[in-house]
Formats: sequence, structure tokens, C-alpha cells
Amino acid sequence: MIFSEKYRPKRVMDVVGQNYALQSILKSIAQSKKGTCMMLHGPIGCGKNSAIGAIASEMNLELIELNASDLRTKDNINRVIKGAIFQESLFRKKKLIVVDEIESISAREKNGLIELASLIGQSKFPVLLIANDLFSRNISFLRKKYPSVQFKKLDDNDIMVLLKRICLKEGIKHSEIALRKIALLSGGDARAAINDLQALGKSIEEDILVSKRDQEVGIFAALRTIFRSNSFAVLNALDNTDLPAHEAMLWIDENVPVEFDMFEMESAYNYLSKADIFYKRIGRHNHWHFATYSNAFLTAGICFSKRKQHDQFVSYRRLTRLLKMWQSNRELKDETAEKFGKAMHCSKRKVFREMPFLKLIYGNMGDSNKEKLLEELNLNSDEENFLLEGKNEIA
Amino acid sequence: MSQIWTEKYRPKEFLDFYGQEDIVSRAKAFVTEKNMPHLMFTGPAGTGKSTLSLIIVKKLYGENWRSNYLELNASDERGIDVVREKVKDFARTKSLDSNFKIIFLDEADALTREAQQALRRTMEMFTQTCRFILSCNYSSKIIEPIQSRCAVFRFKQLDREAIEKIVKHIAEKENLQLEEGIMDELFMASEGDCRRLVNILQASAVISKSITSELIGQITKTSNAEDIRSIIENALAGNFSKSKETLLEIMLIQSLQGIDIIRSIMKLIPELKIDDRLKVRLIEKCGEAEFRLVEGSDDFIQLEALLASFATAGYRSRSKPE
Repeated sequence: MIFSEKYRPKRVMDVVGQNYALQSILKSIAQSKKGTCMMLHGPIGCGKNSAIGAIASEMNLELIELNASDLRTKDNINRVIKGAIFQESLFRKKKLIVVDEIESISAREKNGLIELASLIGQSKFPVLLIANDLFSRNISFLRKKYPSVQFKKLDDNDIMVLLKRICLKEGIKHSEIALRKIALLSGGDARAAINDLQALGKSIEEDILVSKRDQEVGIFAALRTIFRSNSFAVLNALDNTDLPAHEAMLWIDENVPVEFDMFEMESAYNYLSKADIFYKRIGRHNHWHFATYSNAFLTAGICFSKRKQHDQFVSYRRLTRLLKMWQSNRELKDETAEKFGKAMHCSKRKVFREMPFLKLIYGNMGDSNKEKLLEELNLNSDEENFLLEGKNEIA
Repeated sequence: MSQIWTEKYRPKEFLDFYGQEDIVSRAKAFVTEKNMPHLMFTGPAGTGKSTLSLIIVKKLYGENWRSNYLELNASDERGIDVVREKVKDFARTKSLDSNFKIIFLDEADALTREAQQALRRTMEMFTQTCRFILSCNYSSKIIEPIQSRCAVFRFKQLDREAIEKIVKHIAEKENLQLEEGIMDELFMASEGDCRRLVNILQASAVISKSITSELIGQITKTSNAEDIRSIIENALAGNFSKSKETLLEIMLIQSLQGIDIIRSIMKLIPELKIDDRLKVRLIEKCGEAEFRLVEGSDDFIQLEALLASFATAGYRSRSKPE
């Protein structure tokens, strides 16, 4: 289980470093009347969503989470928000409505924002809007209308508290210095720090990867070039990152929805899909020149999918936790499948098709048989954990 | 003894091999004569190609079969050059037990035409010391020159009778109670694929020795229909991020392959409450996506492209009532 999800605070008192923000929000919700709305803002990974989750849980509110990147048009806003606001909770609870990444609401749709504000005004449930950049031009209308609550940037000590907590619960051997390094590297992003912690395994030594964060600076610059360029020189955008092609695809995949509207996205994904196909063809036909096409689709294909000028500020996203798992899982999956394949006299591809059944078989076996199977296939503990993921419980 | 039933119950004698009568008698002849040409085994998955090959090999070489047998998978190896290298290394040393060694190349139809040409040259080079058994699903994908050098064995999909024999055999050895009428269920769920059949049986049996229709149903429920429905509906409504998140979760947690997800989507499309013309468009897009899935390497990206096209299709359908 991913730590950044497993250790989300469930109680308000577990949220680290945001006392002021928490108190403001709690007070506002307690006194809420029709049309209560607040704008939350703060750096990435400082706990905005976690705090809201903890508050909803403690105050027994039904949490409705929406993402503004899905709210492109006035119609969409109308349909989605109205649903959230006017339907009674199925659980007979009060609701708390949260709209994340509010600045990605399309700037074109001027009416969209007015529509949103109008709906909020009619809501009997409190609404929280989350912005990464409070001063983004396209939400100035909202910023002027609603009170804002600032979440502060977490400092090293705040992050250390979180990391230590997890180390204790997970039995991870660690040194103060190592944890402090992780905290420093994260730059106030708790999620990043926790992901880094998880990636390091059961025992954390001091000489850990420092270059990882530097690498990201290069990737963000490459993304900006791909999404904002106007010239065909965009073909070179990925040249200075050391990203393997497949990883570059995942970073772009993560950020296409951030930048593009629905139609631009369709075109962009079409090119992403083609880039993937040519990437596979390199190996299959042993023909390196296919990499040129893959790169062209990844850079120019994506770049020229846009139909209008994008110049508002956008925070690019790091690979989300699930996507990172997808990436690391692929190798693990592959190795596990290879071992099964040898035993079952078939290809990895066939093993993948059978994998859901193999997982069921392993997951429900008695312990002694599990031992025997592990030995038979020579599976290590990571591979064993992979088999146990998503165990289906059938009564 | 193996913990995996597909291995534990893999037939070791010609006698126990159900479902391909003519093929078995020809195979027996090779063993008696201690000679055989190159062979091509073609047919659907799980019909006994690897198994028959193993029986032949074990009968021919006895205890030393492992040093005389090389199993390769065209889809696993990184290109034909790697395959040829492995073949060369293996074929270099002569067999101590016989005049020839055997190389089993599975999924030979995954090789491109060029790769197959190269394979043919290799087959010719080592024809004195090695015999090839090429295994594939579609013989039409194997080039003519190779087909003409092989004796072709066509495996047919397991029929009801064969499935019953296999199930009863395992049920007896493992002490399972088969519910009445369960054979139909098993026959359908296995789709004629013995490997799938035995995996389903084992996955059920580890939970309960009483094999009922309900248990099989639970085991074979490959994906939660609710999840697939939510993925499609969110995509059509333009909620791309939600749709994508659910997709990634079911792919990770349930280890579902892209192809199975597209199949599930296809099954659900007719039932959706949307315009019929939109349904056709969605099916078109599924077809394109499945084609690309086979060609590409990342299921997730290909499925996302599908979802993105669903989003615009949904939007267009809403704005232009035809």
C-alpha cells in the first residue's frame, strides 16, 4: 500500500504544521450558512487535501471532491456542481464540497466562473476551492469574492515528524541524518518526501540519491517547452533530460490533462499512443530509426495539438503515486511473470492473461503450500507481495 | 510435485493426453522410429502444444531430456538475433543420447516476416543436429518456406468430452465435489483452453472443495462491472481525470490486461443509455484501440487515448442531436 495514502491523517490533530489554516476552516464550516465558500491555497504537498479529509472525517461530513480540470464549460460546471450541491447526501450527513486545482478552470469560459459563483451562492453546504497559485489571473474573480486561507509551506521539522511517524509504524530502520536529507530534498512537499521514503525500502542509509530532485527540474523545463513552444525546434525538447523514453511518456501523460482541453487532449493522446507504438516497434523490428518518430510524436505531436495560446501559469504535476507504482510494478510484474513462465512452459504474455487467477490461487493457499510455491518458483519477497496485492476475498 | 495444478496434472504419457487423437498417433511414431522432421504445432491456446512436445521429448531422451531440449518464446525474447544466439549456443554441442536435439519455439507467429526469414536460415544451418518444433496460434502468419519444411500438426480446440475427462480426473485426485451441471459452466468459462480450465479449477478449489456454479462465477468475474461502467461514463461525461484514476486502479490492483479491459468495455457498450449512433462510434474507437494495444507496449497509455476519444465523442453526441 502506498504510504502517502496509508498515512493520510484521519484526525485533525494528526495534521502537521497547519494549525492556523485548520482553525480557520473549522470555524468557517461550523458557522456555515448558505453560500459559504473559502479559497485554500499553498504549495504542493503541504497538506491541503489531507487536512480537508481529516476535517470531513472528524466532523462526519460527506466529502465530495471535484477537480476543476474536468470543468471546462459552463454546461459541465452546471451539471457537475449542481449535482453536488443540490442532492441530499445518501448518508443523511451534511456535505463538504471541494473543488481542486481551481485555476485550471478554463479562462475562455468567462461565464463558467460566474456560473460557478452563482451555484456556490445557492449552496447550503460549505464549498472549499483549492488553488496552487492564488494569484493566477483567471481566478482573480473568485479570489476577490471569497476569503482565502493560506496553508504554509512545510519546513524540514514538520516533514521529519511525518517521516518518523511512518518509520515507527512500518518498522523502518533509519538515522536522523538520512531522514533530514529526505526532508530537505522534498522542498516542503510532504507527498514527495513520503514517496521517497517508501522507495528506499526497509533500511535507510545516509548516502541516498540526491540527484533525483535535480532531474525533475530538467523534466519540468522540458514539459514547459513541449506544451508552450511555437516552433518546430520543440523536437529537441527531451534531448537534455536523461529520461528513458517510456518515462518521458508517463510524465507527458500525467500533464496533458493539466494543459489541454478535451479536443486538444484527444489529439495529444492520439500522438502519445503513436509514440508508444513506434517505441515498441524499435525492439520488435530491431530498427532504431523508429525512435525518431516516437520522439517527434512526443514533442511536436503533443505541442501542435494545441489550438489556442496557453499562457497562464500552470503547475506541472509530478508522476502521481499510482502512476509511479504502475511504472515500478511493470518490472516486478515482468520478473514474476518470467518465473511463472518457466515453470508453466509458456510466455510472459500468457502468464499475464492468467495472472488474476494465479493471484487468486496463491492468495488463498494454505501457508505451507505458499511456502512450497515460493520455493518452487524461487520468488523473492517483493514478488510475493506483488502476488498478494488486491487479494480477492470471497466469503 | 508442483503446487501449480497446470503442471501437476500436465499429462506425462501419450495415454493421458486427451483431445487430439490423430496427432497423438503420429507423435508416437516419431518416438518409436527415433526420428522426426521439423514440426509445426498450430492451434488455439491451451490445446496441448507444449505438453505434447514435452511428452515426445521425455520419451525420446528419458532422464536426460533437459540437456536435449531448449524452450524459447518468440514474444519474450528481445528480437530474432537473441533467439538465434540461444539456438546457436544450444546447437553447438551434439546430443549424447540421440542424433538430434529439440528446440521448441513458442509463439513463432509473433515474429515478423524478416525475423522468420532469419529463423529459416538458422533452421537450415542446424538441421543435422537439431529439430525444431514451432508452435503458433495462426499458421497463416508463418511464412511459406518455413511451413514447407515442417510437418504441420493442427490442434483443435478441446471439445466438451475432453474437458469433462480432464475435470473428472482432477476432481478425483483432489477430492473435489462437482455440483451437478457444473461442466457446462466450466466448459464455457475455459473457452476451450485447458490451462485456463485448470487455473479456474485450482482457484476455486483453494477456497472450497465444493465446486459450485456460484464459486466459479466469483472466480471468473474478471473485473467489477461497476468499475468499467464508471470508467466509461466518466469518460463520456468529460470527467477525464476520474475516469483515468479508476482505470489505473483496476489495472494495478486487479492486474488486468488492457485487452481484457477493452473486452469488458465492449460488452458494456450495448447496455449503456446513450444514442445508438454513439454506441457505434465507441465500438469503432475500441477497435482502433485494440489494434494499437497489440502494436504498442503500454496498455495504460493506449487505453487513455481511448478514453480521451470517448470524451470528445460523448461531447459531440450531446451537442449535435441527429
